[in-house]
Parts: sequence; C-alpha cells; structure tokens
Amino acid sequence: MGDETQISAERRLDPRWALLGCLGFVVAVILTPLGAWKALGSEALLLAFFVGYLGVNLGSLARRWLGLCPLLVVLAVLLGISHPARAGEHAAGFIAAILARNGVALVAVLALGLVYSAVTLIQTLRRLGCPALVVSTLHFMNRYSHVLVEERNRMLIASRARSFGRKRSLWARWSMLGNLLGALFLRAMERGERVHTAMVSRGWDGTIRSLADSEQTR
Amino acid sequence: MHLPDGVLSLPVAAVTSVIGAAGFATGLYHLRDRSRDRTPVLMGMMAAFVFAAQMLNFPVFPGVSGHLMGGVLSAVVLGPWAGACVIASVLCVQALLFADGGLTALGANFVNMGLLGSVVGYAIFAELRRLLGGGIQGTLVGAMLAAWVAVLISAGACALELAWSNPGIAWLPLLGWMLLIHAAIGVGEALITGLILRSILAARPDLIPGACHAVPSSNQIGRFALAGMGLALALALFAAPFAYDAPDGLETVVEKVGIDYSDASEPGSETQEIQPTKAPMPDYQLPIPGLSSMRMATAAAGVVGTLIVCGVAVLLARATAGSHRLPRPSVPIEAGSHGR
Amino acid sequence: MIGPWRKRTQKTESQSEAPASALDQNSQLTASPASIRLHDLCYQYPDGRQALDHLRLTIQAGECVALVGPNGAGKSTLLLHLNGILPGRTTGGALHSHGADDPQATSRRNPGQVWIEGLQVNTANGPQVRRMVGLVFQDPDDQLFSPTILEDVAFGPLNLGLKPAEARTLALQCLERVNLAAEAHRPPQHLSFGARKRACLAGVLACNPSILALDEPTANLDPRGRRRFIELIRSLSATKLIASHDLDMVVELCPRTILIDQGQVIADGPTRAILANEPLLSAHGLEVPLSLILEARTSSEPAEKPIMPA
Repeated sequence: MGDETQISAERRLDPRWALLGCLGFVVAVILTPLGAWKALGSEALLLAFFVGYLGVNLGSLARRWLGLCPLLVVLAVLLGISHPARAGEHAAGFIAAILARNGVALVAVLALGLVYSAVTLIQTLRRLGCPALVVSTLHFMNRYSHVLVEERNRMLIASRARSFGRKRSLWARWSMLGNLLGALFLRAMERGERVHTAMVSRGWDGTIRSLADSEQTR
Repeated sequence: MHLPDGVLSLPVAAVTSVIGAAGFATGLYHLRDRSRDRTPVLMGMMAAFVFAAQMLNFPVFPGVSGHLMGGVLSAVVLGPWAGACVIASVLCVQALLFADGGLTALGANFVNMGLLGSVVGYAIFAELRRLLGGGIQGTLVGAMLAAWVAVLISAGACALELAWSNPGIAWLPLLGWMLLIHAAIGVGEALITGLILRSILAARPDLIPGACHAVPSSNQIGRFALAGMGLALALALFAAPFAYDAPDGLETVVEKVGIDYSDASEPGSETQEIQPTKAPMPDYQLPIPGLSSMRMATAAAGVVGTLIVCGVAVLLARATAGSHRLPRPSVPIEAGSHGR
Repeated sequence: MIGPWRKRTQKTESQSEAPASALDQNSQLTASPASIRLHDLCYQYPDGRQALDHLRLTIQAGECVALVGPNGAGKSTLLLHLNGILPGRTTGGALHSHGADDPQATSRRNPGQVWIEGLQVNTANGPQVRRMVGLVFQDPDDQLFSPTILEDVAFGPLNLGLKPAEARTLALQCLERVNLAAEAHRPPQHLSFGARKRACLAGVLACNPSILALDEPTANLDPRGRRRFIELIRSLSATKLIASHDLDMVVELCPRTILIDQGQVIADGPTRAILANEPLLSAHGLEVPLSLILEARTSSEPAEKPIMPA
C-alpha cells in the first residue's frame, strides 16, 4: 500500500482508464446472467490479469474482501430464499451464483481503492469532468476525516479513561455518544470556519483552482 | 442500507442513476451562489464528520446497532441541497475506497439517502419547525422527527427498489420488514441527531440558520400540533401500503384458495405492483411471518417509534432551552454568513 | 484616505489621550506610511463580549513586534483584523440571525479603522490587503487543507493569478526555503508537526507578503522544531507581528513588545523593559521569561556559579 506501489501503478495505467474500466467491468459482471459460469470465469481472469499487472497487494485485498464477505453471504441468502421462482432445489445454486458474481465485482472495486490513493482518485474524478464543488468537498473530506477521526479517538480514550471500567446504562452510553459526537461536530465546524479564514487570507475568491488542472501527471 | 452491486437490476440501477443525477444537478444549481462563502469548506467538514461518525455504532437494542446517516443533520445545518451533496460525497468515498455500497447502486443510494433523506427530510423539518414556531425547541424537535421519518422513507424507497429489481419477489413483506427494522434504526438516528443538535444549539446556535428566530406565542399549541402531525405522518406512512390491499381482501382469498402466485415470473410491472405477497410455499414462508401479524407489528412500531421520538425530543428541547445561555465561540470568528 | 494619526511607540501607557509627541511629528514628516496602523479598533464577539476595545497601535516597516497577553486578550482577533476578514463578516447580512436584538450591534458595525501600508482595510480593497499580509495560523491543520503540500503552497499563487506552471515553480522554491522540497508530494497528514508548521509558512511566503502575522508560531513544537522555526522567522525580511506566549522567543526575536489585555494596549515599548517588569506582567497573567532572569542573575552576581557542576 506504499507510495511506490501507487506511483508505479499510475505509470502503468492512467487512473482515468482504471476508474472507467472498473465501472464498465462492474456493469459487465452484473449483466452476466446468473449461472453463466464460463463468462464469469473469463471476467475473473481478466480481473486477475489487471490485479497482477497493477501490483495490487494481495494480502490487503484478501483481508478487505473477506471483511465484506459476511454481508455478501447474508445478501445472497436473503435474495436466494426470498425469491419464489428460485426457491427449493435451485436455491443453493442460485446463492452460489450470486456470491460468485458479487464477489468478483467486489474484488474489482477493492483493487481500485487499494492501488490508487484517495487523492489520485479524487483528482481523476476532476479530470473526468466531475463538478469542482464536489471535488473540493471530497478533497476536504479526505483531508479532514483523518484529523476528525484522530480527535474522535482522543475523545473516546479520554472518556474511557474516566469511566473506570464501570458498566453503564443504555441511556448513559447514549448520552455519552451524543455528547461526544456533538463536541466533535462543533470542533469540525469551528475548524471549517478557521480553514475558510485561512483560505480567504491567501486570496481565495470562491473559485477552486488546482495545480492539477493543467497537468497530466503529478 | 447501502445497496451493493448486483442487487438492483440494470433498469432499476439506470433509472435511479438518472433520477440521482438529475437531483444532483438540481442541487449544484441551487448551490451555485454559495460557492463564494464558506459553504464548500463546511460541506467538506460535514462530509468528514459524517464519515467519522459513521464508524461509531450506537446500540439500538441488544445485539443490533446502527450508525448515524446524517442526511437530516447536514441539511439542517447547511441547507437541503448542500446536505444532499454532502451525502453524495460520503457515498462516493465509501463506494470507491471501501467498496461499501456498489458503484452501479450509487444512484439508488443517493436517491434514498441524499434526495429522500436530506432534501425531503429537510422539507419535513422546515414544515415541522414552522408549525412549532421556530426557535431552539422547534429546531430540535422538528429535526428529530424529520430524522425519524426520513429514515423510514429511505428504507421504504430501498425496499421498493429491491422489489422492482426482483420481479416476483414478495414486495409487501419486504417493505414491512424494512420498515420494521428501520423503525428501530430511525429512533436511533433521531436520538443521535437530537443529541448532536443539542450540543450545537447550546454552544453555537448561530451555526444553524433560523435557530434563533423564535415565535414564542405559538410554542405551546405548536408542540401539540407537532406531535399530532408527526404521528399522523408516521401512521400514514406505515398504513399506506397495507391499507391498499386491505379492502379487497385479495390476500385472504389467496390464503384460503391456496393459489400459487409465485410462478408469475414474467417481468410485467403492473401485475407485480398489486400482486399479493404470500404464496403458500413452505421454503418461502419460512423467513416471513403472516402478513396480518406483520401489519400489526409495523403499525405498532410506527406508533411506538413516533411516541418515543416525540417524547425524547420534547424532553431534550426543554433541557436545552432551560440550560441555554449566550453562546461562547471558542474561536473569535463571526457568526456564519451562510444562508440556507 | 490617510487620516491624521498618532504614533504610540516607546510609551508604556496608551489609554490616556496623550498629545502628539515629538516622535509623532517626525513620523508625520516622513513620507512612507506605517506598515500597520490600527485606530480605535473595536470588535465584539457574536455573544457580546468585547474582544478589541478602541485599540490603537502603529508598526513601522521592517519592525519585528511581539504581541503578548493572557489567553482571550484579543491577540488572535487582532491578527485576523489585519487582513480585513473580521470586519467584512461583521457587516455581512448573516449577523441578523444572531444580533437582531443586540443593542450594541451598531457599534459592532463600526469597527474602527485599520491601515496596511497606508491603505485602509475595507471590503473593496480586501484582496489587495490580503496580498500584503500573510497570516500564519496556530494550528497547521487549519491552514494545510490541500491534498498535498505542493498544492497547498501553490494555493496562494494560483489565487493571485499565476499560471499553474509558474505557481508550481514558485511553490517548489518556497518549499526549498523551508527545507521541505523533498516532501512536496506528500499529504499534509503524513508530515510531522514541525514540518507542517514550516509548510504553512511556505504557503504564506509564496504570496510574497510585506507583513507577516504569526499566531503562536512556536506552540506545540519540540525544541528542535522550535529552534528551526525561530531561525526561519529571523531570516525573513518582512515586517513581523508575532502573537505568542513564548516569551523567551520574544526576547530573542523582537526588539519591541506590545502587551494587550481585554482588548486594550496595556504597554508598548522595548521588549527587555516590558518583559523585565514583573508587577506589570503578573498583573496580566504573564511571567518574566527565564532567559531574562538568568541574564539578570549572571550580570548582577558574577561570583555565583553553582548552577552547572564544573
């Protein structure tokens, strides 16, 4: 997941093509009829080629994929048994087909997120014509979610340090969580005001400009 | 409630994507004048906050937990369209970087949580607040009830999209189940929204546009009007799909005669919309209880949820208004210049 | 545009309406205007507290002045006024949502006057003023909002109308100056606190301001980071106004100190005179810096050397 993997991946495949390709691939996989194992197999092979070509970290890919698997299984089972036309003896095959199909789509999306950094993907969205307001929101979000998560963790630790391991009632837990999130929210908004001040003091006039606007590579 | 890839059929995904894109474009159009003030920064901060808050689960009841969705919260603070854009950004990051919510379902998720959760949620909030006479109490109670109703609307839309994608699926029990589960989650969402708003209203009411305009005279009557309206809304929402097939009693006929409707797998749309739900197949009946008990449970959940949210909202509002002092900003920065 | 002004340097009391001194007349004669001049500057927080109360001060070009005072004295608010961010907001319409029933709202809308390099700060020439004043915030995370350090440093130049290629070159030069060129493409959150602080300074330097306003430049820095940052500030030629609680740094960097409390100038004069005045400092929540204590000790009692073992 290091910087080098990402830079080499960017050199091998323009993130724009990767993003569009990933979207197209997911649509193709979804369109593959259930039970068309050969088609799905060839799609999986294509995906495997790109995963290898881009040097995706297989360990993290597998870890994330397995992390999302329980959700996938629940979904497949729900869809499988709740569908009257496919109930009965076909249910098992149907569930397996859904699992395989969604599993492949999931690998594609996860690989995209692993091989390109968040910043690269957001800049790619910009180059693909996404509106500037959304791109700036995404940039701010990416930048400050780290800061906010850190602040949140510090507050959680501080509140745990003073609770002395005591079991709390449901309402106490609720109000603790509410107060914590409220404080976090206030900090976020006040930070937003300070960031805006910092931007205005460096000449920001409402237009979002970026070095990447006219450059093809970083 | 993040729909993954492969659950929605392609027509549904396409239609919801088109609706989502149109709604998103409308949102951007409404926001075009606001890019000069600090809205873009606050939108980013709000998105980061929602993202950070969504990692914290709250206990709904033992064994089940939910997390903040934040549609109504961001709409109350930033306005409906900015709120929807915030939700769109959060969904985008979750889909692209964490594969949480599918790429092809992005449009549907945005329709459910952004357009319905934020824009429609805000409309409900604005109406309730007006009825309540505005002010800090009106804002708090209105936002909590709107958050609760918005979760139910989102869940209902989600169920309908699922049903439309899978022709022949029993859409009524699916809707019932979705609403039942989300009644609990919605109460959680309303409580968390209320607790967060309480902190803001106590410390920086200037952050919430309109929170400082109170019409005190109508407060007492307004509170009752609010409770009544909230209840009516929730009941209407819950009763609507059930009231629909109750008069003709089609379902009881099916039960009695035992006609197997389940082989109606041709993808006609009209027929499925009014198709009764319960086909007497053992495998299929397994996870879904009888429709009549379902109806009772859902309606009960609607009433109980509304009452809980109403009660807590009024209590919180009283407490907040009682303890409310002049705000003390910790940074020397002037009150917001964001209208809504 | 330029009204009559009084110069208040070298005086320790500023509240009385003293007549213009000889120094004032001298400065009237010189043609070049003061770098920073505040005249009767008032500001209220949204909750009605008085942050700045008829504050007056003048700083000449090239000076390095420290702004000291207890927490909440109005130091940060004063710095924000230098580029006209706060008055602009005060007159903004959103105030009505909060201050509609505020009897003193009118006094808030008349926030006194600020002149930067002879130019009065108002909404019309805000952009011009912001170009001349570089603000460095206390928390680097507030200032580094861009995805990479390079983008952040280029933010100012891009807003000033430079082409991306030019802005990039300038940004790299500024990063070189603060010794961060190797980190240019890294996201801010991956840098150490000291490095982020220097990146902030680079971002401000890229706008080439003639006045630097620094808010707590050494707060939260480790000793090495603090030393580096002090040397960096020393190497800059701009007029500097530094708000800080780090009085040892003030002794080191600033020949002149202004003590403010409750939005008013309490004392204004040579740093060593003010920071050695123990009754004055303790009355306003400050302490005599250690460096001055040690200095006084070594100079008055040269025989006593038991501090370090020989």
